[in-house]
Amino acid sequence: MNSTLLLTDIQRFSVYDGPGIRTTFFLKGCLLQCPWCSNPETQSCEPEVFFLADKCLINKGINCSFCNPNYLHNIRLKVLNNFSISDVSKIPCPTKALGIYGYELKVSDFIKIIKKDYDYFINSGGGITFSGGEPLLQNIIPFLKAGKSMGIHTAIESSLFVPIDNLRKVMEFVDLFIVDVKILSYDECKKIIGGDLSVYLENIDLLSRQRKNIIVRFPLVKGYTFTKENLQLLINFIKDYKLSQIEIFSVHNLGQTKYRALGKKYQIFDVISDNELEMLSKLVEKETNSQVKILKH
Amino acid sequence: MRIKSMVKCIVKFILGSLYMIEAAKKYYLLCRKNCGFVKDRKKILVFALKNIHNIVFVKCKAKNPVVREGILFKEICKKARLHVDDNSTFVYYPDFYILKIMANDTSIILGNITINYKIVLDKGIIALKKEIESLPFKNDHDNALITVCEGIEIYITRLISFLEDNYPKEKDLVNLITRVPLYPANSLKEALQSILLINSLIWMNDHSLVGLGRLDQILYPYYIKDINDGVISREEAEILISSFIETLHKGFKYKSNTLLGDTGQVIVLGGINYCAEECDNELTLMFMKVMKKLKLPDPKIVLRISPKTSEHVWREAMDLLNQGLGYPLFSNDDVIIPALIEYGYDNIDAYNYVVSACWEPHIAGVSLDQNNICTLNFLTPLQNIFRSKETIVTIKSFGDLFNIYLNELDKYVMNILKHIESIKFRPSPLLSLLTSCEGKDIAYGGAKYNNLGILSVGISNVVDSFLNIMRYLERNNNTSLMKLQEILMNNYEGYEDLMYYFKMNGLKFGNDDENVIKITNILIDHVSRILRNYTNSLGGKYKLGLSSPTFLEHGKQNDASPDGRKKGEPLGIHISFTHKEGDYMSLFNFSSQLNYQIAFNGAVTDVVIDSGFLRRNFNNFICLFKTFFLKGGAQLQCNVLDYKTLSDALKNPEVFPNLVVRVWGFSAYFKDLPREYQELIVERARQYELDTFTN
Repeated sequence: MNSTLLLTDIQRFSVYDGPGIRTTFFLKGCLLQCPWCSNPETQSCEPEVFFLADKCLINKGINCSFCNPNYLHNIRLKVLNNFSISDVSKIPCPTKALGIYGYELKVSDFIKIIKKDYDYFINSGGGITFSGGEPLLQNIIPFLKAGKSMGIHTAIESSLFVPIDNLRKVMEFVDLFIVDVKILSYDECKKIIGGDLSVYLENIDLLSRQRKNIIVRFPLVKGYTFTKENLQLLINFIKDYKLSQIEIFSVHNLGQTKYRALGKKYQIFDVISDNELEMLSKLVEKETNSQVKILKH
Repeated sequence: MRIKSMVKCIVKFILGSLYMIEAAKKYYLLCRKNCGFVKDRKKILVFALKNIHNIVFVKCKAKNPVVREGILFKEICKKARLHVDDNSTFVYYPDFYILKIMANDTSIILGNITINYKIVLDKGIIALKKEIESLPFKNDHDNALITVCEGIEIYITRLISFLEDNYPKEKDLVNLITRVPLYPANSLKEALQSILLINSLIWMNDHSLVGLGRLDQILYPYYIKDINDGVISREEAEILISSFIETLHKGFKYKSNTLLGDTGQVIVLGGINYCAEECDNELTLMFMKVMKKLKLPDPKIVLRISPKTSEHVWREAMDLLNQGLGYPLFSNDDVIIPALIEYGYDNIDAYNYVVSACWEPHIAGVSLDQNNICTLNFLTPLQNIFRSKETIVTIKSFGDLFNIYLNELDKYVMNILKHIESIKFRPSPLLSLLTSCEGKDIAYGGAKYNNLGILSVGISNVVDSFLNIMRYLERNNNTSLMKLQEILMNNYEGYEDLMYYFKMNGLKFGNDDENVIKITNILIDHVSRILRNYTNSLGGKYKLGLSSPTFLEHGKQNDASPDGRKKGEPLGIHISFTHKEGDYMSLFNFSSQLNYQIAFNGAVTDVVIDSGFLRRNFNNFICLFKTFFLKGGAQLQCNVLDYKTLSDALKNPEVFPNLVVRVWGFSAYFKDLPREYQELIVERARQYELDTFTN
């Protein structure tokens, strides 16, 4: 069994992904392509080179002896797409302008990391969260088992657009599912984020039948998720599956730098005002039997 | 040139013999304080001339310093200007314009001391005086103590007639000061008034950084008696505490030591008692509640916590912290008390610890302990090595470097001790009286404890330097450090890549990595071991702390260092992370594994928290802090800031007159701070904001 994970980041004192003080592991690889994704580095399931020109010393005209000499010319010419993973991994870029998104984590190292914060998890009712990317695309079971065997609360933040077997296998080791809900019309869903809604619904149905602890997380993006039609679908969805914990948040543009670092294009989104968030939260609470929490970053 | 210096000498001699130099120095400092510690000499001189009529001189020609100081204090009591604000609840007017005229005296005036007000509240000055008078044989010291008591009596008599003459309606105030501090306090109001009058006399006697002590403990018996007897209601008590705090805030500028706000007026709350029982009480909460309403940067709170600290004290404390006033500072009894006992303080005293001006544990009322006598800069010995070509040539491995560093550190510490040995303290019969000194003055070792505290800076810079050098040697196949020396001497010029590499890459101080913790503890252990072997000239010992206010000053004097720091840049602040990718968990885990048992003289972990982030995650922060302390964290200071407000304030400080920030160990109005401090705080806030929001 392959017991390493491909990660992009580990965030300690993570307080947004489940109860208490948590450590969130961001896994690499996702089947969706949400235009508003704030972690574009987690989309591909392969390691990727990133380059931030404005942090690069050479680009600023400062000599840098750490870089691969073959790159200097291209960096000066701003031809930034021919970095190789194996070369870049050997460069300790002084300003972290050039590097790789994606590194492997073994179970043994994982255990060392969570042991450090064990007391904080237990005292705050917190634990570990696997996020991403789509955590259900990698073999997280050994990791979940390790956490559970230490008595640590486990959570997964998933889009649920994965084969149902992937979900079924992990269910017994997961205390909390933080499930994204994005676009609830079949056509739009396929068109905009590239997901088959029926897969999603089948998965959520499974979780709800098994009475799993679910938090539904709804990102508000004008023109995509924050439309009249989608809101109505959302309300029906909450009612149908008797979902009680809803979290909403405005799309933010904090991921921009990462798009730039990957050489990907990024569309700027309108941030939803506190007022609108407030109104939507009241509306959903009125229409359904759920509690709505507004997440603030 | 020679003539010029001769003239200088003669003038100095004449002035010196006129006993004026010290008075002039003090007056200049006073005016500088009033002008907000600006460097603008013209402004200070104009102010000095305008206010010269306020000066009151006191003098004494006695040769014996103890006798002299006793008489000078009595003179202060006779001559201090009196003043009572209309409708004030308490009488309190430390006259800062009293200037002592005396021969040039290089001894150091004691400061940074917290007395135990309980002695005065319990006994009263008259009874203290009688105790001394009844001694069969009296020496100069005893006589000076009597002189001090007489001084206080004179001051009170003057105040009473001043009130009767000018405020005939203020019968209550007259009754109040007729009773205290001469006689034992009988009510909460009397206790507060007694503390205030004694406190004002300590300030007038020229002592700096005057702490207040465990006021919730000291005042509780008076409070609960008043409540039980129906003398006052809880609401009335709260009003009294509130006016007490406002009264203490008076003279804010003049009380400041080196920057506006640096007054040392620390009130210690909470904590456990000798039976290890939690002793927070209604006053603990009341003080915090009042401070929350008043929003003053000074006085400030240190909250002693333990696993037994109640949930409502935690919540009130976090609520107060969230006001962004920079306090309470948390101090962990479970770490500090065992360290004090192990060091040699009696159990009963250790359990009753307070702190001196910032955070250094201090035993109120029985100690001379000068907790900030000197600062040790961990980076300086490393700098000495890199300044010497001959030494660098001999270094063949990291092991060599580390051993040479430890040797240099030995020499450096010995020099510091030699310097401290040369320090003489000025007698103070007033402090001797209030610290129960028997037989001799506090300055000559009359108190129960006479330990001297050394603070330190640069430990984070030196640890980062070592971690970097290790990697540097590895990368360059263990070639010598000659090249690195050249680079540092040239302030990284032409080698900015290496500077960033050092600054931003690899493990750093504040990481909860075994090796980082190990190196840090080796350094702490090494210095403590040296200090343990020496006694100071008063018969006490030395102790080490890991936090010092002087990170800016020391940084200015240090060359570029291998942690990626350029020449003159500030050193690391207390125990905090030195790199941009630090997180709270890593820092707290790191910090809670440091050996505070041998480095307890200020052991402050320092973090910045975004105010919105704290507000939204209140419970998680309480858990974070509690667990940190359970795991062995010693002290914690938080600057709760809002980066946006701060960066606006940096552009135009006067538009934010009430914005308070934490500087090293005190809170201050942002607008009052020198530019370099303002910039440093905004930069830290920016860094933390980025850390909090990038994921």
